[in-house]
Amino acid sequence: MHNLIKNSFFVLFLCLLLLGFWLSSDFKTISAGIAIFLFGMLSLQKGFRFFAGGMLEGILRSATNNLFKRLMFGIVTTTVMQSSSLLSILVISFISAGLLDLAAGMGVIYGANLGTTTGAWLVAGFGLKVNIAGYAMPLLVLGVLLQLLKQKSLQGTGHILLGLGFLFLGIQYMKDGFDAFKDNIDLSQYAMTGMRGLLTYVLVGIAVTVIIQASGATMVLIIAALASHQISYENALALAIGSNIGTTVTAVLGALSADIRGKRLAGAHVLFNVFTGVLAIVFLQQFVWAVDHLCLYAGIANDDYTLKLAMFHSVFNLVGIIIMMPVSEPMARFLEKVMQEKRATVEMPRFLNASALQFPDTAVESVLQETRHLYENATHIILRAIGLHRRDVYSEQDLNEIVNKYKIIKEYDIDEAYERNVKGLYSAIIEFISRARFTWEMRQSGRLHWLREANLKLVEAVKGVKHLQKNLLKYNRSYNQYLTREYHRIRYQVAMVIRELENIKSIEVVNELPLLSLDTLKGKVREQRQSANEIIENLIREHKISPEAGTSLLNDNAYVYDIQTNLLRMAETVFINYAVDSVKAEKELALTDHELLEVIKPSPVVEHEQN
Amino acid sequence: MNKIRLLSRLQDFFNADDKEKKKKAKDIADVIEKLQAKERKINQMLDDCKDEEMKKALQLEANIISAQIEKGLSVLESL
Repeated sequence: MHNLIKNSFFVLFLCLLLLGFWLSSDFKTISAGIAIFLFGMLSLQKGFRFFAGGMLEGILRSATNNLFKRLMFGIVTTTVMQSSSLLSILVISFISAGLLDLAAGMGVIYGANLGTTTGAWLVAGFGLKVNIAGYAMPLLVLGVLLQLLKQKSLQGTGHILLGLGFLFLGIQYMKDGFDAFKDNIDLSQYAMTGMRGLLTYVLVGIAVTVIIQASGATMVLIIAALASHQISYENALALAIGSNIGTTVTAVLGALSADIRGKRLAGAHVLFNVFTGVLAIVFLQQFVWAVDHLCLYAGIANDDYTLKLAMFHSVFNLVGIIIMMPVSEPMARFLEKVMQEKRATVEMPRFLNASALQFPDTAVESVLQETRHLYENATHIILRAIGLHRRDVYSEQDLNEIVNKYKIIKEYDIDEAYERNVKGLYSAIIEFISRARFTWEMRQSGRLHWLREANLKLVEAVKGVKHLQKNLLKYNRSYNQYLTREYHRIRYQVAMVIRELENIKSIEVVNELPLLSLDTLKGKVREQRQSANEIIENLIREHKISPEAGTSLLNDNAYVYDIQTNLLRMAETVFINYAVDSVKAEKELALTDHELLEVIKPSPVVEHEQN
Repeated sequence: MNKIRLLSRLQDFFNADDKEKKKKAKDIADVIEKLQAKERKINQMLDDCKDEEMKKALQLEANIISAQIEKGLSVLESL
């Protein structure tokens, strides 16, 4: 149904367009201008994508702690790129990866809103006053030439030059179209005054922007129409307000496929633009007065309406920022409250967002955070399967006491828990990594390879506990005290590793030898396995347990060792930050497997070697 | 840029390897210091511990740490 309506609108729009082409050749020129301008915007965006990944990401990473920096980042980036869509994607990916909170992301988007108004300044101040098509030609030629080269940076520059060329050409076409249009049809006869005119033209501005899907292009269209006196200054102001509101439709459409964070950011964008739009409608007279005065100070002639329109566009967005900035925090809280994540029966990824795929470091950070998320779920399942709870294991209480406290292990459906809390996340992580590695062959690809391995180890640890569970349930209630004691030890050993890893996870933050602590833990695990095997063999030899129960115990000890080593290997990748200098130094001191074995079981002194 | 600054920059450039070594040695020494503090703490716990199982675990930890320290000292010597 939804598609049918959409398709019908598209066909209707197409018919109207064709009718327009048939009725007026000037309409054809204006439409071609819009199309060329939009193509230029796309080409410009494509060009920036060649550089934007790492560069923009790096800048935003260093700008996340400061409100002013975030605002400036939004303004400058959008001014340079003349589009806020790439920036919105970057901000959504940062929010999803937990590098930026919603309020901070809103700061960048506010800045971007102000940044888009610079386009109007450029067109009004430069585009209409010179023969802009003259500049377009060399840009187009150079752009095509550079695009043909192999080097990525030159190709990107080619796309940017081509984009600028098409933007200039589009502006010229729109200008020429309106100039010729006025000889045949005088649109100014439809000018409307008063509140009725204001609201009508605001609606027209919204509609045009929704159709074109780019407020920048709408503004150029308005400026070109204003310059050729096809619309009045008063109506042009209303159209600019409408275009500012209409642009949120693009954000909303873009957010439909995004996760809840993207939707909240789009919500903030809508609130901001609608608020500034309403503000401009209500206080239009005051804004016009302020613009007149500001233009007087800036040396802009009183009858230079195109520049005055650009000033109006910037001023009402700036006022919006000044008013909205202090209420960003409560607004973010409101949006988080109103737009809540649907609780899925199957756990969904919290940090993975397709938009992060374009930004290598953010993509790696997203996978790292998601792996930690998976670790939390996996350890929950492992502990539940051995009849324990995370809150007890992570407490200060003696671990033996905790294991004794929960003597009876309740049945726990690991398969169901795996399907619900692990499988979906694991699949999403693997899919994300595959897509990311497909996209770029960089340093980050190596890091992603290790993260994929870490995830695999986590899943193997959960599967290991499933094998363990059967005998654990069977022998835990055995009348043979030796057997129950050994299964008690098994539970203790699994819980011990999870507790120690939690400590390592925390000491990683305060830089207290995380890698060497992991080394010590590895030693403990090996020693535990060796002594457990010796104990079991003794129990069989002394007929304290049956050989059948003994072999089950030996197998289960192997499972425990697998669970422990899988968790340790995962921790080496996920909990240790190898970029830190002190960790690099720790690496020099970390013991090899052989050295570790020497410490656990020193090789006996062989006499003939001494001789 | 005056001559002295230029010379000192050149010196820095040619001594970059030495500087890196010194930095590495300092980082390793810091780690050894932290390990020694940890070792002292565990030895203290060993003295106070009455439980045999616990004592065994602590002894193993102390042995691993002492092996790490030993390895660190030999790395320091080689630098």
